[in-house]
Amino acid sequence: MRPIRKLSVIVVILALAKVTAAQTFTASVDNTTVGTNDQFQVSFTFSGKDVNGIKSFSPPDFKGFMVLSGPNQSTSMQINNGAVSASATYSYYLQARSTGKFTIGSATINSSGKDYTTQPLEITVVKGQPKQLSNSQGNGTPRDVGDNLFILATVDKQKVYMGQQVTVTYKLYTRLSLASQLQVSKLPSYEGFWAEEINVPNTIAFTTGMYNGKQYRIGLLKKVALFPNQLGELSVTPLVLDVPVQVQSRQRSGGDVFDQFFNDPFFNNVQTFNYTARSNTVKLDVIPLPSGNVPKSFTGAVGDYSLNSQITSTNVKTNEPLTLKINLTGTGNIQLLNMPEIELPSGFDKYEPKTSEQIDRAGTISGTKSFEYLIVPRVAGASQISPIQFSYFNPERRSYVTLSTPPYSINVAQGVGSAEAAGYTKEEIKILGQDIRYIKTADDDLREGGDIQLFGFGFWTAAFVPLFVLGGLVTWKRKQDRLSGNVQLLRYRRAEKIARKRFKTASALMESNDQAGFYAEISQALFGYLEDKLHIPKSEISLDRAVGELQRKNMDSRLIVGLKDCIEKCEFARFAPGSDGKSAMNDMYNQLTNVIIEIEKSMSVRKHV
Amino acid sequence: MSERTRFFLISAASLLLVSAVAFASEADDLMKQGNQFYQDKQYEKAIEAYQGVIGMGYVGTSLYYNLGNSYYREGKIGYAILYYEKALELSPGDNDVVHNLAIANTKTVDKIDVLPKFFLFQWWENILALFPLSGWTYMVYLFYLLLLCSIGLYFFARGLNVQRYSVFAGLIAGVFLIITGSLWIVSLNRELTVKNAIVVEPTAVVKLAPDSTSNDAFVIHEGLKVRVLDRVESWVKIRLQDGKEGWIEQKEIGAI
Repeated sequence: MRPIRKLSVIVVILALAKVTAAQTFTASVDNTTVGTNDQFQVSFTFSGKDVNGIKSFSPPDFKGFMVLSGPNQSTSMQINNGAVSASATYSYYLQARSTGKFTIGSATINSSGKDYTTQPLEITVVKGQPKQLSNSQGNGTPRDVGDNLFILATVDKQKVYMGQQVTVTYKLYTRLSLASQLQVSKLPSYEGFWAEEINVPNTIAFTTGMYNGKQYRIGLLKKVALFPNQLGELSVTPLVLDVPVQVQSRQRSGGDVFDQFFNDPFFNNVQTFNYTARSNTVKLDVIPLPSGNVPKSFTGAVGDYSLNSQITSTNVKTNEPLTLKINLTGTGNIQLLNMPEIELPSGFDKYEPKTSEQIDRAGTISGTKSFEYLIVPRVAGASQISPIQFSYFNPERRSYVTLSTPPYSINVAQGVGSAEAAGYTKEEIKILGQDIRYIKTADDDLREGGDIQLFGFGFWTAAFVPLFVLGGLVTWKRKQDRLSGNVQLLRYRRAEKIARKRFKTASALMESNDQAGFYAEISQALFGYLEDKLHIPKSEISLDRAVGELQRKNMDSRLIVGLKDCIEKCEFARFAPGSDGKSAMNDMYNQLTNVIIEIEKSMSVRKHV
Repeated sequence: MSERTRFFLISAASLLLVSAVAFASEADDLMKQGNQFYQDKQYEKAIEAYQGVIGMGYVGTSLYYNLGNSYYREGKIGYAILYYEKALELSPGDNDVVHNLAIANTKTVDKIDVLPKFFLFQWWENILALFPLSGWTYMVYLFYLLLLCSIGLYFFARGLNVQRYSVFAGLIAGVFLIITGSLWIVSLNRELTVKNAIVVEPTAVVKLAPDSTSNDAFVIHEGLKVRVLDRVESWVKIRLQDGKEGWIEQKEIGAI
């Protein structure tokens, strides 16, 4: 029995340990009922073994409340009897805006991959007490305080040029003693300005001064340099401060020494209450810069500047970088200055400039802005970096001023590395300095797009129709020639062929010494040829007719005479064979061949030339 | 056909014609508007106008060229090169386009070494670039017709000399037909198989596989010309001129 009980105790302890080791995330508030002017604290605490696993904390939406500060994070770790426990707290200081019941929603935290959520908090806001930490019965009502404590905002100029510096100074005037640190509850908004805070000492050093016939202690709170960037009447909203004021309570009656002694503020005789001090609204009239004689290089700089430039070297080799440094020094809205544009001759590469600025925020904003250009020459030769111009408007002199750097002549010698080494080919270097050509405006080459169907119906039609047409025409022509009895043409075409055939037979007959056969054959060849060529029917053929026809065709008369002579000889030899036989036949043969060749030649020339 | 149907047919036809003409003039107007915007240095609006013309289904060398110029002025080098290449596709060897493309190419980040080609191949490329595919088609057709004409002339000629000339002309036409025909086939083959694209995003990561979780192969920048090899869903396989291959998302490149 006993061991079992022991065991169960151990189990319970372990279980408890387990519970305590579990991770929790809770929300807490120091007061669930708050006044409208009260500050209160809301904390979200995550506790567990390990807070290192916390990934993200998302706060709730503090609707209806003003977050005065937060999230303020704190972590703690405890080792208790060897058990480690840790917690992380995110706390906010809030102030209620209006009365009523409000709910602060859940906060979520992610730890080691798990999400934890808090319960929502209910806050009741009641009408706040006047901002008094203790009831004041003395001479210090807020109305009195207002006369004795105020913030005055002053400007050094009422009328400023656009971009000209105007300084706003906030001073605290007080005749009361202040309890502790002042708290800014609302900073002025500088709408339409570029604002630069001017350095003032952190602790307020009070001096004594007069205002409206009263003596005040005056402390410098804040100084801001403003550069207007809008025209017209601009205003700066007031600065609002929470000032804890110490007011002496009613003096104790009696002239007791002890009473006098205890009337000393040291003895908590004073009452402190928070007074909300509000500065006056500052109004400024911003006038535009004169529009006449604006230099080309003006980009909006206002103030007083000087320009100087340095170059590391003017004798360099290709691909060796050189640095051109341009310094702008002066007073004005130096942070807003644009860099002067630098134009390099072609053959130089320019890289984005390194910009650095040093700004002095004591009184007027002044400083130096420098631009460092890295320039790499790519081609050898002498060239010049033209002057860099910078213009500004001087509000004191009410005129524009243009500054300029000297031109730099640079001699570039051919370096060791070739031009290609820098990532550019020679051709590319040639066109590096060029600009693209203008658009084409005259060409009217718009056409409907869409893919042209290449092997469509049109393509095949275009390919085969001419082929079929040609084939058809040729067949038709041949048929016509043959069928429609254009025999003349056929004969005309074949005349030479037939003549040649006959001549072949004739030459065979000549070989066999058959004079009669030979002459008959060549005579037939000649007449046949003439019939065909001159379109003379066989029944009408005669030497005279053929000669007449040839003359009509304006044949060479020598040719005609030759032909006539030939035929007569041939007829003669046909009917009265000579004795000399073979040589006569040979002569005859050659002569006739010549005649036919001549006729053929002259006829085709006549016809087609 | 009754009088009424004839009237309807005629009015319908004329309506079609009028609307086509109106459409064309609208595109011309938009084009002129774009040119005016360019002149006024309102490049964004010019781009919008030119894209509008493209959206209406028109193409044209000057359209692509002007659009490329506008993109160049806007600093979008990738798109500028893409449209210059498109213009070059329509009229290879156009002086202005070649010039501006060369300038735009100097502004690209990636410098990929291309081995110089053997001079014969370079000549071949130059000859191919003389005409676009349509140009070669017309050339082939011209010589084809010339060949047919000389064959026809041979058959219809009455004199020996004419026949001789026609044979001669036919031979010449035949030789040219073979030359232009082979060029046409090569350029047709390129058109069908070789697809180039330009990287239009300023920086594009090329992956080893068509999958966004895959390892990066290499990084390329706008304006680079790549060859498109394959396509899987929204991924495209590309090859650089130095032979590197990888997969890139389709939206990061623009096909020429």
